[in-house]
Amino acid sequence: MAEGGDNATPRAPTSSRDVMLGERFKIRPGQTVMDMASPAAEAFVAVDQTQPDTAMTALIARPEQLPRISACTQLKGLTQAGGAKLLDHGPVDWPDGTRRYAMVYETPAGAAVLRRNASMQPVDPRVLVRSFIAPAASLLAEYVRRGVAHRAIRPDNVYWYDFGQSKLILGPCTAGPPGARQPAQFEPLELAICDPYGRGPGTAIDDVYSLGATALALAMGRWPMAEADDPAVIQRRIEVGNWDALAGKYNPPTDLYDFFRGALADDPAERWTLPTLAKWLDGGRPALPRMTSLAKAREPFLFEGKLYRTGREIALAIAKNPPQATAAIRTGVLADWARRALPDDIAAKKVQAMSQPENPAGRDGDPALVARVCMALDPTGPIHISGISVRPDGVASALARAYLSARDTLPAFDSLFRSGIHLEWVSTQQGAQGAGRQARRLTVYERLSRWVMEPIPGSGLERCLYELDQRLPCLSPLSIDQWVESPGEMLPAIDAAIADGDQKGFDRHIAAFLAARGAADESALKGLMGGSADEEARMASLKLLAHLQETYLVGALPNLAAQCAVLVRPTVEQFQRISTKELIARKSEAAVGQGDLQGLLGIVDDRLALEADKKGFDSAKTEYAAATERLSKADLVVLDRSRQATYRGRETATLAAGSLALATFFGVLAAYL
Amino acid sequence: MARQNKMIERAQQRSRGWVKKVAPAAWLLAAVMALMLLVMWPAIAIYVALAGLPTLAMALIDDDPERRGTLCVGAMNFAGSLPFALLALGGTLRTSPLTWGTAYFYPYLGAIVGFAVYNIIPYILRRIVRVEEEREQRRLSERQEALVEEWGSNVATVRLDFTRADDAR
Repeated sequence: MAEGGDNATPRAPTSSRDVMLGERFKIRPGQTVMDMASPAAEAFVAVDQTQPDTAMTALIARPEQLPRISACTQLKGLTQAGGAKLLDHGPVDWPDGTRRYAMVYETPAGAAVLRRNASMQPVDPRVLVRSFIAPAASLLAEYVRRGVAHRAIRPDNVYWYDFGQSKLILGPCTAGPPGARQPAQFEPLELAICDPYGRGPGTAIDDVYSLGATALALAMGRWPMAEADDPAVIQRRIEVGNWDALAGKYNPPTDLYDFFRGALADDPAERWTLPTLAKWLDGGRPALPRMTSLAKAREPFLFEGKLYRTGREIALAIAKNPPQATAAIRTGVLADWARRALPDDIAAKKVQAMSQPENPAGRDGDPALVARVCMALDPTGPIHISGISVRPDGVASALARAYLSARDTLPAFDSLFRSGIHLEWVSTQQGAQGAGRQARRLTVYERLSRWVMEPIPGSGLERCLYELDQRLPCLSPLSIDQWVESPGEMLPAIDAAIADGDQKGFDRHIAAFLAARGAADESALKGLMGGSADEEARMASLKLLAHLQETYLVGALPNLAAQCAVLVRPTVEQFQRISTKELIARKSEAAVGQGDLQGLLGIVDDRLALEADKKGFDSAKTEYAAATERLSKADLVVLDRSRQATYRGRETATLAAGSLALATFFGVLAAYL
Repeated sequence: MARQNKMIERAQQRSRGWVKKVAPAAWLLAAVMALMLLVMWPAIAIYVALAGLPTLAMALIDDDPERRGTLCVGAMNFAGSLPFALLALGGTLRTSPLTWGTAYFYPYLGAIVGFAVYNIIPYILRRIVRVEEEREQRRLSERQEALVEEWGSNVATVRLDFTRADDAR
């Protein structure tokens, strides 16, 4: 039941304490299920508390592995026969203190049917059809209705469902990115030549191929080309076609001949679809694909000591050696060969044009030039740039993988988005398999270049990552152990990290995550990331955090609130009235104590109070200035008023003296008369 | 305050104008009366002149442009001497006022009272002004302290006006 088969290297359990997934499933970290572990996920015994007798297995995504959460959501509760039943999924608190993603499956009775380098009794063709192909086809049809492709169909991920070995089922497909664990034998060629994490979600037609290749292995009783590594398998399939490469000298049963030919057709456009397969299972005789092979050049192309005859081969070869490829393109060696020998005239003309020095294909540097030439030589192949080979719809998981464990490939993604090659690739896929899905994502693809080139918080490759995969958890070192899928979960993770004294701070991942999932604007992110953030940016960041706390009903965030208190201190300092400042400080302390960012925002975002304080302060300044001016002129005022007093006093004295004189005159006169 | 000063200046100008207009006629009338008095009643004229000496002295030292000091002293001085002059003219007095000490006491006492009134009333008004001003300054200082206490020291960042500093000095 493992997506990695015999590569499984399960880690020792960290604790025997049971872990709950929801209210129903109890996971026992002390009891490993070795047969179901894989490089993508550890496997432990799980108990369904409503059905304790049913064997359950919990796949726990390993650190640095990203399960298919969208697929989990679609497949949860699907009880159709033919596949392992996913009963529940979600992040759990693992005993080592991290949060890991758990997927609980019903455990099949038997082990994996056929591992690499093992052999088995070939399965009878009629049993194969009845017990494997028919139920699997029915299951895949249901997957299509749910918008999911399995992308993990291979012999070591097929199990006997019962002890009587009467039914075969497909194993889990959600533990890792789609197709990431598929050996080249069981993956369509155009996907097998991609990097494992860059293959994209794929389609039902890709599943039909994998089903055909797996059925071939079961019919043969061994893996096809088991001893060859992936490059060798790819090379062989290019040279002789899928059937001849995989089957070799094996003579298929008559009952299965049409199925193998339809499912393993080299041309994806000719390959059987699920309806065609259903028709065949119902006893019909669908049209068989035409026997086509890749057009070979009239003369081989010599590159790095090897001879190549097809455009796809040359594309793969030059993609692996960019410096030599650049030399071959710029010197015109490749163009000359294409003109002489390439049967595809359009591709030949494209290669010749790109070899010209003034051609715009070279404007984005050598990696982009090589990528464009590869695209011309192999239009249905992946994008090859700077050593990576991805399809645009597989960029999300490839980019996540790069951030988690292959950071040296990040510049390649940067070159890819800056040069816009992913858009050119989509435009060349008209009519190709999966072109419709690619076109639907065109709007997102068009934004990738802008996000990479914008030097603002919340942009960059990280923004592309979170926009391309809406269910991807935040990969910031601050939160990667906490499995943060939503901005609401981000806040407690940050709060916990601060409490642990973790000084990692708000990094580019958090900024991009909040921009993609929380609609955070540039100003708010600038404030979060510190630096030369102005008051407006600080306020915007606090508003964002408070909004998220309120929207996602996040509880108390005391540590984050304490940091935000520092964030808003300059705003508080704008208040001038001392009593107001003290009041705000008391309220702020209370909000910090309660971890209430909304409360903190309410305190500092009170524009009316700030305006009133400003008016009051201006008025007080004016009053103080007037008083100071009045006091500074006190001597002058005394002088002026004394002068007035003297003047008026003398007037009064004159009047008084006059009156007194009259009184005296009459008094004296009366006394002597 | 500046408006009050201007009002005072305008009043002073009006007053000076009136005095200037009336002064020649007044002096002429006074001279004619004095001459008539001297010719007709020489003893009374001499008495009035001697009794009016404080007014003359005040006129010499009066620094008021409108001669209010002279008016104060003169009015009281004249009020003290006029009754005796009139009584002498009416023949009511038994002795000549020229040689009667009491007839000098009242005019001189009147002059002293006039001088006192002229100086004391402005002094009292100036004291009242100073007390009021000190009270206002104390109120302003206390208000400034209250403002600093309420708003912090930033409120005291003001620009001073030194345009009339020289006047103050």
